[in-house]
Amino acid sequence: MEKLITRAQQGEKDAFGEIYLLFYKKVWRFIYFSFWDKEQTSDLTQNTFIKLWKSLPSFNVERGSLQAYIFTIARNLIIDESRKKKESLLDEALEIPSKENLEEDLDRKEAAERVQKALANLEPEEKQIIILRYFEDLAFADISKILKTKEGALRVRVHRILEKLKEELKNEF
Amino acid sequence: MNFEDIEQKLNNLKADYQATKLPRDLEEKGLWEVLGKLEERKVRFSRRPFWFASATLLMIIVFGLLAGWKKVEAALPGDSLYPVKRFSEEIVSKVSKDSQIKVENRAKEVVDLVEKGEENEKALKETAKEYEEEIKSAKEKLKSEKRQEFNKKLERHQEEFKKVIKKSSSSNKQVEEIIEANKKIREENEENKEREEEKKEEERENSKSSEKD
Repeated sequence: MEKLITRAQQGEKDAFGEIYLLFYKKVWRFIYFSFWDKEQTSDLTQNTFIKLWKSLPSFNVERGSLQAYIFTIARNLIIDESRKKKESLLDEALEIPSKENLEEDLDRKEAAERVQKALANLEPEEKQIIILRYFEDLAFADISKILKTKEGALRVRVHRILEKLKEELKNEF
Repeated sequence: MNFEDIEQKLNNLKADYQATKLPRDLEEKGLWEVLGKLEERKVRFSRRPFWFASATLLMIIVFGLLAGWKKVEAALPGDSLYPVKRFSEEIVSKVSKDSQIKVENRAKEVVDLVEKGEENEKALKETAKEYEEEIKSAKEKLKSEKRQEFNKKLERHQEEFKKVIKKSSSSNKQVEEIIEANKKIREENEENKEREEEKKEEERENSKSSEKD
């Protein structure tokens, strides 16, 4: 990974393309469940990587993982975009593309709905913490860098979020 | 319901999360769209290794100037000023298109290293090898009028080498080898000089006879 990063920092688009392929799905899902707008999510995903390309020369592996750096960029874009618009309603966001397998897509739609319902009562930042910790398996150290908070405080916060989720998950599952 | 149960349920939700499908457009064309929007990156010369090496070299040069040029000239392999000496020698050699400064410096270094003693055996071996290479290379590039001067220089070196052998027996082998190489190069140089003189003589004769005709 370090060699890939160095090559991308030196301007090799091939190397950057590989980085894109490694992370674009994670970034998309992170933005989607934080922001809940499929169309905007794709734009924000692309913008995340365009911003990454511009700022990559100043990235230093010693200061944290590339994954955390990418999620930080994505999160900052989400925050900027959220200020510009109100949150979309649940029903509007999930559109099934007409050419795709309807049955298969219905399953995926329901799966996405389950996730969204579980996280519905959480604050945006709380959603992001759950996504990064439990769905993307990031270490507390990385998440604390993304959210610019101390690790100890983050662990306490996770505990509180799980309390909040207790009721929601008990009823649904 | 305890926290372990909650975490387990979140783990189950993780599969749903991972299964969320991305838009087809993004899957098929996303990469190319992003690559198409990337600005060409100019590689900055301030990347640390190059900058650091240049700064280090510059400091060595400045230090060399401050310390006095004589100290630089007297530097031997292993000394901190030696790279400055080699660098300046390279510049002089390229500007003057004459590598004889290298021949002189290597010869002097051989003598100084022998006089310094046994601990410099490795440096002596390398310097002796470099001396041989330099005299071969210098001989190839010589113009005919410079051959005699070069041979006189090599004779002088040989006298110095023979003196120093008497002083120190431990480095005899290396010094004897370069004495031998020195002798061989002088002989080849002498042969080249004779051949060139014969050729000139022939050309003179040919031009005279063609004038008569």
